[in-house]
Amino acid sequence: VGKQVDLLQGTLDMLILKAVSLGPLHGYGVLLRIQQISGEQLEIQQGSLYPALYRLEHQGLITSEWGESDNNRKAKFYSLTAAGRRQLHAETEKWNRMASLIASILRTTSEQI
Amino acid sequence: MNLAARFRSWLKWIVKGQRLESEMETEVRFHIESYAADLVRKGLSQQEAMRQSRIEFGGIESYKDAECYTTYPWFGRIAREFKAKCPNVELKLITGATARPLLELERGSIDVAITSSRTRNKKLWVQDLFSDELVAVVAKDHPWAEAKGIAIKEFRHIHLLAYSANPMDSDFVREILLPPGSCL
Repeated sequence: VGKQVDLLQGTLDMLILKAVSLGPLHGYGVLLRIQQISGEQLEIQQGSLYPALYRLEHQGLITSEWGESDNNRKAKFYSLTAAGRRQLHAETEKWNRMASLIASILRTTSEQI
Repeated sequence: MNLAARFRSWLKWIVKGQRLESEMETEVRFHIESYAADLVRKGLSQQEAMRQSRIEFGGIESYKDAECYTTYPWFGRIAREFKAKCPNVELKLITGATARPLLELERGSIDVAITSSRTRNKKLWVQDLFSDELVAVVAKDHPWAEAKGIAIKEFRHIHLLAYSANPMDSDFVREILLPPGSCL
């Protein structure tokens, strides 16, 4: 496991959408899934998770429902809405385009100019 | 909108707000306890796990307003004196940490609680800090204005507007007004 890195500003919403697109999760599960997918390299401030979840729910991108956790505790589960799926698709394309663009700029040598 | 409709709308808003707050608290508590359980599995004691989980989360509290505004005038001075005496102890002020500090003490999620009432709980150790005096402020022509003192039972004939969403959260209501017979 490499050194943990802080999340890039503005990317938490996209990662939450991705996490819940893989199946309904409670808040703590969202955090664990993002950390698991990142190979435990991303450090997410726990307190910032819920404002993001409430914001996404308010925007209609995710929806929530009370249910039971694995240990039979009452927990709120979040899942992706159709609007959330479209948003995730658009965000993913935008991110890939931007990442590719930045990478190509950073690879540029003086001979190429 | 007439008065009745405005009242209904206000009541609905209050009830909805309380429900959301309660749900939010349930959700965040689940998160904190789940993380603490993971920390226990990694070898921490239950008490230390809860403490660390709360610290890392940043508190249920960040979503709520301060519940005890009366803390503000004296807490800063106490905190400075404490910090000077114990520079190695981290002192963190969390707004609205809980309306049930004794329960949180027993759970081990907090180390010290400053409360306005004594407890008979034998698991806890209590040290008196100071005693406070309640002062009623009334208009000059109010019958109480000439009185040297006011008995609590006199509040039975007074309408009191409290700032707590739930009056039973107020020590003043719960422990001083209700015992001699005031009604909610």
